[in-house]
Amino acid sequence: MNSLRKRGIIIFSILSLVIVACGGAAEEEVVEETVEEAVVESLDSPAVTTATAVKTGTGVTAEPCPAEIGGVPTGADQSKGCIYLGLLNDYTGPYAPAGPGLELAQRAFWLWANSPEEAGGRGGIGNYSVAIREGFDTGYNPQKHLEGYTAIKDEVAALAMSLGTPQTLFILDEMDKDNMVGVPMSWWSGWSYKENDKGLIIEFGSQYCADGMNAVDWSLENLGDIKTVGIMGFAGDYGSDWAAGVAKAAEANGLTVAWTYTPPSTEFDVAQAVGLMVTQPVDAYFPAISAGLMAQVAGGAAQQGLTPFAILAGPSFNDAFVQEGFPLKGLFESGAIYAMGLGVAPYEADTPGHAVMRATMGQIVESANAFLVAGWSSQYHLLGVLEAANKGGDLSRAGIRRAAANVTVSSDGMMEPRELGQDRADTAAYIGIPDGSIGSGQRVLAFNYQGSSAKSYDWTSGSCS
Amino acid sequence: MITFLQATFEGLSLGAVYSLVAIGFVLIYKATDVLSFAQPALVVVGAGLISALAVDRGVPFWIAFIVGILLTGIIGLVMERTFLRPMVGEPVFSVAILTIGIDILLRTVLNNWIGLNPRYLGDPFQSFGNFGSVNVGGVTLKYLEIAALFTGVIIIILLSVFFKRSKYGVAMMATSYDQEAALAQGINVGRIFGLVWLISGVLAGFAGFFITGGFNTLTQASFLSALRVLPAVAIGGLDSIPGAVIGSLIIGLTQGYVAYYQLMLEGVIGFSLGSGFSLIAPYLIMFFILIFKPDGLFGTKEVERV
Repeated sequence: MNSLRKRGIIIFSILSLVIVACGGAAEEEVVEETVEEAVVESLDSPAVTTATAVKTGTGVTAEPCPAEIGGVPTGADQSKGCIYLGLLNDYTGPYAPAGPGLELAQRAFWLWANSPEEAGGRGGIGNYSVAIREGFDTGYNPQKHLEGYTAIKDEVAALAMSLGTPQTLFILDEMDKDNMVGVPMSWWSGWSYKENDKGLIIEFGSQYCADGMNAVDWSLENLGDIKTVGIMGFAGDYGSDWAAGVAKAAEANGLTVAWTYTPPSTEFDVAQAVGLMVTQPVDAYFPAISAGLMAQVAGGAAQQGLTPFAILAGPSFNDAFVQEGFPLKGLFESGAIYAMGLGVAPYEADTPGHAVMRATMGQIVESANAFLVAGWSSQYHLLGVLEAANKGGDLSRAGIRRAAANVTVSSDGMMEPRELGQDRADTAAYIGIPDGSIGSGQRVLAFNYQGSSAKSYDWTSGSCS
Repeated sequence: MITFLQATFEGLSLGAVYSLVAIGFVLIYKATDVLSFAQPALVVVGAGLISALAVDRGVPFWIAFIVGILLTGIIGLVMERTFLRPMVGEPVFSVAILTIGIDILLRTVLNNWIGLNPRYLGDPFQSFGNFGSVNVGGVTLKYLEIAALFTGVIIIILLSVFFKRSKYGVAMMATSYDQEAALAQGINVGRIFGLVWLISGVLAGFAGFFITGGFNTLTQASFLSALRVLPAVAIGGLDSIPGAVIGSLIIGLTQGYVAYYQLMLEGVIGFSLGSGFSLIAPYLIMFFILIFKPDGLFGTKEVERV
C-alpha cells in the first residue's frame, strides 16, 4: 500500500469519526432551568435514620462528578462527592432508535436532581451528586449485555438503566452477587415479584400484561362491537407479556382470538402479519411490535381495505406517525388506531413531574417523544431509593439494595406512589388517540385506567409470562 | 384464487427488490472474489440520502431520488478506491472482514442521523389510490411494489445489454472470468473494480428506496431487510447474475406464499409451524438446494486439485 493511499484511508477514517462524534451536537447545549414546582418529600423507608456518617462503597467517590458526561452537563455540585450509575443501552440493535433518547432524558433527570433546591432541583443525594457514566452498547444482545455489565460493575453503585427484559434477566444472577440494583427499561410484569427480580429491580410505570388487559377492556367499553381479535408481538420480549395480558382479557370477555403472531423481533415478517389479517379478518388487533413495523402493518392492512381497530402497546407508537407529511397520518388519526402509554402518561400530561421534565428537557431537545418521558420517569424511583439509602446512612450497594427492598417512592405525580418490594404489580394504564396537533402525537383518553380484567386478575399469582 | 394471486404479486415484488441487492452482491463477488457485507449499509445509505434531500432539504422528490441513487453509487466507488483498492492481493477473508467494518462505519454515521423517529422518503406513491394501492379484480396491487417490479425488470434487462454490448460491460465480464488474463489483454482491471462498486451502489440505492419508501419508512433497523438477500444469493450461486435474480424470486415468492397460506397449511398438517416461519422458510429452501447443488442453482462448480 503506498503512502498516499494510506493517508487517504487515515483522512477518511478521521473524517468519519468526526462526523459520528459531531452528530447531535445541536442537542448538547444545555441550560439549567429554574423550576417553580415545590418538590414534596415522600420517602417512607424504615431504613431512614438520623445517621450522621454515611457508609459508602463501590461507585461512590469523595471526588466530585465530572461537569459533563455524554455531552450533557451533570449539574453536579463540585463541593460534593459523586454517586456513579451505570448504563446498559442499545445504540446499534433493534432499539437503537430509542437508546439515545432514553439516555438523554436520564442524564437530564440527574442534571435537574443535582441542581440546588433553591433552583428547583433536588440538591443531589445528601453530600453527593449523581452522574451516569458513559453508556455501554449492548446491541440488545444478552451476551453483550453481560459483557457490558462485567465491564462497568466495578465503577458504579447502581444501574440507571438496563434495557430489555431478557437482557436484564440474563445478568440478574451477577447483579445478585454484586448487590447491584438497577432500573429496567422494560415493563415486564415479572419485575414486580421478588421471585423474579431478587429485589434488585426498581420498576416503574404500568406493565405490559396489565396494559394488554386494559387495552381489551377499554376497547370493549369504548369502541363498540368487538367479537374477534388478533394478537401481534415479539416473542420472548415485551410482546409475550402483552400477548398474555390480551389473551387473558379476551378469554375473560368471551372473545375469539383468530390468530396470535409472535415471532422473534428479528424474524417479524410484515407480509405475514398482513396476510393473517387478510385471511383471518378481525374486529380489533393488539400489536406490541416496533414503531417502524407498526406503520408497515397498519398501512399494509389499509391497502388491502382493512382498518380494524388497533390498540397499540407503547413501543408500537411513534409521534412521527402523525407528523405533517407522513404518508399514514390520516390513517393513524382516523379513529381506528389507539395507543397505550410507554409505562407513563405522555409528555404533555398535567402532573408536577411532567412539568419539571418539560422545563428541563425543553432546554435540551425539541421533542416530546415518548422515549424521553420513559427515560426521565425511569429515574424517579431510583432517586427515591438513593435518598432512602442516604438517609439510612448506607450508600454501599448492600445499603442501596436494602433501601430498595422496602421504600415508598413517588414521582411528583408522574406515576402513582409505589411501595417497592411488595410483590404487587402496577395496573393503571394510559390510553391515547394519535393526534398530530399535540407534541407527543397522542391525546390521552384515559388516565390511570383499570379495566375489569386487570381488577379481577389475581396479581399475587406472579408474572403473566 | 385471489389469495394466490395476491401472494404471488407480493412475492414477486419482494423478489424484485431483493434481486437489486443480490445483483450487487454477485457483481462484486464475480469481479473481486469478495462477498461485500457493506451492501446492506449501502442500501440504507441510499434511502437516507433520498430522505435527507427530499424531506429535510425540500428538493423535489424525483430529483432527490435520482441524485440520492447516484450519490450512493459514488459512495460505493469511493469505498472501493479508498478502502478496497489497497487490499488487492490480500487474503479474501481479510477483505471480507474489511467490508464488515465499512458496513458498521456507514450504519453508525447513518443511524446517528436517523435518530429516534422513523423517516419517510417523501415519495408520492402513498397518495395514489387507497393508501398507495389499487384493487384489480380483488387483488390489491401496491404502486410502490409495481414500481419495484418494473424497475427490477428494467435494470436486469439493461445490465444484460450492458454486459453483452458495451465495451466496459464486456471488460467487466472478462475481468470476472480471469483477472490476470484481462490485465494481459489491456483491460484496466482497477477501473473495472471501481465501476463494479459504482453499479452495485446504484443498485443498492434503488433497493433502499423500495425497501423504505412509502410508509415502510427508514429506521435504524431497515438494513435487516437487505440482509434477507443472503439466502437468495446462496440459492442462485454466488457468481451468477441470473442466479441472483432467480434466487431472489424464490425467496420473495416463498415469503409471499407462507404469509398467506401458513394458517391453511397448519390446519392440514395439524400442528403449528410457528410465528416467523415465513422468514425461516427461505433458509430451509436454501438448505435443501445446497444439499444437492452446493454451488447454488447457477453457481460455477469449483474444482480444486489436491
